[in-house]
Formats: sequence, structure tokens, C-alpha cells
Amino acid sequence: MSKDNEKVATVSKKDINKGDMQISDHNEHAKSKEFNVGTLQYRLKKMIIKEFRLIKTDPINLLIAIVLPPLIIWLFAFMMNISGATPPVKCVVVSYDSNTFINPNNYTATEYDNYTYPLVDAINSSELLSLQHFYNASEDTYAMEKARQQLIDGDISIIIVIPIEFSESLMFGFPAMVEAVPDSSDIVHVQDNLNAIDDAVKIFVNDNNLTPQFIIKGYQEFSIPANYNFKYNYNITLTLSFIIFGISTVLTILVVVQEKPIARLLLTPVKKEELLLSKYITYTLILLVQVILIMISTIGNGLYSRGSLWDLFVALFMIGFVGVSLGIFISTLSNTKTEANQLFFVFFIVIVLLSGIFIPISSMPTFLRAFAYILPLSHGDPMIRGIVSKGKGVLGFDFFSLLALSVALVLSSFIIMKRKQYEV
Amino acid sequence: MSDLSGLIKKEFGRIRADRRSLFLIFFIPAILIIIFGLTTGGGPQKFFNVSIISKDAITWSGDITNNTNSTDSEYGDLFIDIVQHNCSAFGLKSYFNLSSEASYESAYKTALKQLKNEQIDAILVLPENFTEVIKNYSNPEIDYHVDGSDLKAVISIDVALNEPISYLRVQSKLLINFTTMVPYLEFNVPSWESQVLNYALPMILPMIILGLMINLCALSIVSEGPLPRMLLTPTGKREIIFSKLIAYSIVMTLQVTEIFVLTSIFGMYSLGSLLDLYFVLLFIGFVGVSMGLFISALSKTEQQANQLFIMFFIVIVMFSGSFISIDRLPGVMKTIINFLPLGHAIPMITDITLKGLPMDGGDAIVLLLIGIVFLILANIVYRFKKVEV
Repeated sequence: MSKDNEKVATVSKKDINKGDMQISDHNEHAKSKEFNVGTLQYRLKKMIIKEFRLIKTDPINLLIAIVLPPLIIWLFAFMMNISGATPPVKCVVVSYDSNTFINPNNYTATEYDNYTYPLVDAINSSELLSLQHFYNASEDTYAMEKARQQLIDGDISIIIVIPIEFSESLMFGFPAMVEAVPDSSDIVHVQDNLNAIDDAVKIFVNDNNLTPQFIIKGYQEFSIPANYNFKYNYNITLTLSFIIFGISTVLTILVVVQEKPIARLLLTPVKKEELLLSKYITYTLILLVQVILIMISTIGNGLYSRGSLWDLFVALFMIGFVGVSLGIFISTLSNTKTEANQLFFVFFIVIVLLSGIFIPISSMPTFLRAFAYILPLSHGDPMIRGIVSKGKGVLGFDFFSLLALSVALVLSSFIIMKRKQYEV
Repeated sequence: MSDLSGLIKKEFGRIRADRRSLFLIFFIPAILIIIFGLTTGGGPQKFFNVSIISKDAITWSGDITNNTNSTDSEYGDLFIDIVQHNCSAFGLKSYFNLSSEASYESAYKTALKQLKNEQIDAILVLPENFTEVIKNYSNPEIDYHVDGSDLKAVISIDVALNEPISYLRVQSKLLINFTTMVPYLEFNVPSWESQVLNYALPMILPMIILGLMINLCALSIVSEGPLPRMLLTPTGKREIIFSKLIAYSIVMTLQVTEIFVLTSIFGMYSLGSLLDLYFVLLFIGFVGVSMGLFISALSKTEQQANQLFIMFFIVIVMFSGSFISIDRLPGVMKTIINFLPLGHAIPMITDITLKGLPMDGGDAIVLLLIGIVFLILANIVYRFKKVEV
């Protein structure tokens, strides 16, 4: 710096002309700016190297960040591949069909049960159902109680009730209802249970030529081809955004708060913003490696992607970058490591629970829905799913929402860092 | 004994010193439960937004009985009307009433675009002879194109279509041989209760308790600077772990009590004993404390502890049985997964709250065993850990 001052002084003596003086000042300003940019680059480079050295001092940490996520994906894929087909739904049939039915129109009593056994045969024929027991309620008064007890004990998942007027309804041209009583405490499998009974009813209708019936033909758009593992491909989109966001956030939550010599570092020409920028660059580079390894692991385990892999890469990187920004934001906001750690978990649990994974966003009140759309994982899964299943491009509402969120977090972290007081 | 009480006091002093963390531990569950309590809906039924392409008004020349070309669309129009106004499982986004086959391609493309952009969940297509077939008492056909990337829609559309078809059959007096399935949900959350909160409770309560406790305890050993110096005194490593276990268990008990009271205030529906539920939550909290202590004993730096925490948490959630059904896995895998807490905690809470059953002794013992094993592991790891003064 002193050399520069001398140079300016020399020049001012030589140049008497005012115009010359102005030109000379302009040149010097440009030179000094160039010098500043040069030193900024130099300092940034040195600080990035310092960051990498710092990371190298804790190789296990780096190993956990880089090796464990692909391993978890591999384990997840392995589990999905070895898990067998859906087992048939265990059920019992309680038939009231042979009990006396009084026709409310003419008060005649009938005990028809012509269709009971054809229905039981259809249940036995269905590959989706496994009949555990048949109770004839006209012979066993406590049939329904016994069946309910089996349902409570978890021995069966559904009770099929054949009502008293079942055969009569079919014979006299009325709607015949098969009653299904599924265990709804297992909300994940309620639909599977109902589907299994629907399948049995269709078999019953076909086998007994009960026409007219509505024929429903289904076609799946954007489905996963049969030669790919459906369960893996269906669940991996959520898992990917969950893992990449989690690991990138957790890797960065302590990067600012744990750096003890910051105060002393600030006595050198290094500026707070440069310090933060170097951390962003370093951890973005690590994120790139993480994303590449996760993609290799995901594709290697049989990912089917209708969209371009480049789009998938950009999407994963974007989710990860929000994680990095959030982590550094938390780190700048916190005064102690424990505080950073706690804040991280607060953010993480709120993000996980309110991102539509456990509760559909559409079920939330309006104010909460607006809040949910700010959270990164609300966009992660739909964005990845859109690319891999529907062949959408990465640049859409979800991408720009994540971009806006990360920009807000990056800016906030710079503002907080700038205002933060450090004592030597 | 006095050494231990001194250590416990010291632990409380440390916990109290970090008031902000303490505040978060109690504040966050409260906020989450209030939020969940305010949400509505969320029952087991999937709601379908659909677009209908009706070809019913297109001339159909297959009516051999009266040898005329028919453009009758009475039942096609009725079906559209039913989907639009009568169904609880369907909502009509748009419909295309086609009068010529040539316009099908463009209608289908528009509907497919809606499907791709998640504006609808399925496209329903009614064929040219829809009305004629119904009038002839033959088997009418309905085609659907469902979003194959939406698993919930794929698995539920067949059963859901029974609703508009049933209405159509009743309104068109097509009741002969009409056989259908009627569901009566057993052990469900009643519609007047907060279904979102109560169906999510078995998953979110253990997640919040486990997550917060593992997170809190994961730094308890690794972040304590003067520990090596303390080991120069007669205090043993076992006493240190034990004192931390007691101190953090007391914090956990307070947290569980707060969560329990708040969920009750915000509409927790429980058929079973609340005391049983409270004990289950305490067991889950104990597992959280043990796992946190294990992670803390294992880690050399705080960042390692954080990384291990998040990995543990992801594995616990992913292999909780909600994503992969444990029953379908081979024996070895099943055993490994059975050693994770959520696989036991979720069924226990479900059984108590929705089925009114008492606490499952087997699952409770396994949960306690998991906690004890992690505690023993934490002790062993800490005993062999080299600490430098």
C-alpha cells in the first residue's frame, strides 16, 4: 500500500496540467481496482484452501457426508428389491345370508343363500385375499364378535359381511351389497384391503354372469415400466430430496459458529463477506461431489427417468444448495454450537413434518399452506418426480421457489454476518 | 451417591445455562402440535379431480337391432352431471362432449396436459355407445387414464369409480344384478375429530420425541470440554454417563408430559388408556436419550455427532415400516429393522389410540431393550474412548 502512495505522489509532482492529473487519477483508480480484484481472488483462493484443510482435519466427518448417503440409497434399493410381492389380505367371511329375510313390500319370509358360496368361491379365487375362516351367522350367534376379535388382535385385516338379503337382492333385481369392514387404524393399507374385496366382487360377477355390469378399463400415464422396480422408483424421489437436503444442511450448520479464529482473521485484510463466500464456495464444491455420488448410486440401483439426467442433477443440486444455504444461515445466526445444533433440528423437523410428506398440503389451513410452500421439501419431491416420471424440465415453479428461497437465505446470512460482532 | 447427585446437578446446570436450547425443546413440539391440531380433513379417502371426454354423442352405427345410426348421449350426460354434482370422491375439472371422432385427439391432448401438470388425477373416457349399451342392458365400458406416478390415485381409482357408477345405476334404474362393495371403516378416526392430527399422531409423536432427544443428547458428551479433566478426579466414566442419563431423562419426561397434555388439548382421539399412551411416549423418549448418548460417546467432534444424528434419524424414519412393509422382508433384514424404535412405537400408539387396546407388552419390552442396548454400547464406547486433557 505504501508503494502505491509513493507512486501517486510522484505522478502528482510530474503532472502540472489539471487534465493530465485527472487522466492519471483515473488510471491509478483502475489499477488499484484491478489490484483489489486480484487480491480478493487471491484471498478467496487461500481461504477456500484453508476451508478444505479444515475439513481434512476431520476425515471421518467428510466420509460420513460423502460415503454414507450413497450407502443409505443402496441399502434402501436393496430392501426394495428383496421385499417380496404384497401378501394376500387376510380376511374372514361372516354370512347372514341364510338367516330369514322378511320382504318389507309383501312381508314374505325367505332364507335364500344361493349366492353365498359362489361369493366365497370368488374370495378363494382372488389372489389378493386369503380367507382365514368362514362364519355362518345363522349357525354361530357370536360370529361377528369372533370376527371382530380377530380384527382387533390383528390376525386379519378385513371382515367381509354377506348381508341377510344378499341372495334375495340378486334374485329379485335389487342392488346386492357386500359389506367390507377393514381395519382402518392401519391407514396405509386400507385401500389395499378394499381393492382386494373389489377384486373378489368382480370375479363373483364374472363367474356368475351377472349382467349388466360396468366394465372399467384402466390405463396408466407416466407409469414406471414393468422391467423397473416400482417400489424403489416410487419411493426414491422423496428419499432423495430428504437425504440430500438433510446431509447438506447438517454439514454446514457449524462451519461459521465453530470457527474460533474468525475474530483474529478479521484483523487481516480478510473481510467477513469474503470469509462467508469462501465457505459457500467450498461447501458448494463438496455438494457437487455428494450429488454426483448420490446420482451414481441412484441410477446404479435401477432408477427409471423419463426426463434428462442433467435436469435431475440440477434439481438435486438445487435442493442441496438450499440445504447449504440454510446450514450456513443457521451457523451465522447462532452464537454457540449447541444453539446451531438445536436451531438446525427445529428447522429440520418443521420442514419434514409440514412439507406434505405426512399431511397433504391441501388439508392444511390457508395460512399454513402458504407457509408449507416456502419449505424446501414441499418442492423437492414434486420437482424430482416431475422429471423422472413425467419427463418435465427442471425449470418450473418448484425450481424457482427453491432458487428464491436459497437467494433469500444467502442474502440473510451475509447481512447477519456483516452485523455480527466478534471479540478477539 | 453424593458424587452422582453432584454430577446430576452439574448436568442440570449445563442444560439450564443454554436457555435458548431449552426453550426450543419445549417450544417446538408445542408449535407443531398446535399446527397439526388446526389442520382439517386428511381421512383415508382419496379425492379425484377428473376431466371427462365423452364420445357418447358421436354417431354410433353398431346398433343392429333397429339398424339406425345413434347419437344418443343421455347417460353420458347423466354421468358427467353425477361426477360434477353428486360424488364425494370426485370433482369435475372439465369435460369434452365430442361430436366427432376427429376431435378426440385434441381433447385427449388437452386433458393429458392437465394430467401432466397435476391439475387433474385422471381422465375418464366414455365410448360412443355408452348410452346405447346401457339401454340394451349390455355391459357398458368406462376407460380411465390415471397419473401413474401418483400411487394413491393408481391404487384407489377402481374402487372410487364405484361411487358414480352406483349413482348412475340407481338413477337409470339399472339395478338388476347390481353387485357392489360397501365399506364400513372399523377403528377409524371419526369424521368430527381432527383426522389429520389423529392419523398422523402415531408417526409424528415418536418422531418429535426421538428427534429432539437424540439431537439434545448427541452433543452432551462430545461438547463437554472439562470432561477429561474431571476424569482426573475420582469420578468414573460410568458415573458420567449415568448422571447424563438421569438429567436428560428428567428433561425428556417434562417434554413428553408437555407433548401429551398439548395433544390432548388439541383433539387427540384415544379409545385406550391415556396412561398407557403416556408410558409408551416415555419409553420412546428413553430410547432417544440412549441413542443420543451413544452417538455422543462415539463421535470425536460435534460435527461428527451431528452427521451421525442425521443419518440415524433418516434410517429410523425410512425403515420405520411406513415406506417398506417389514413383513415382506427376509428374516435377517426383519431382525435388523426390528431393532429400530419406530417399528414398535407406531403400532403401539395406533393400537392404544385407535383400537383401544392396552399397551403391547412385547413391543414395550423391545423398546426398553433397544434403549438399554444403546446405553450399554454408549458405556462401552466411552470406556474405550481416549480423552486428552
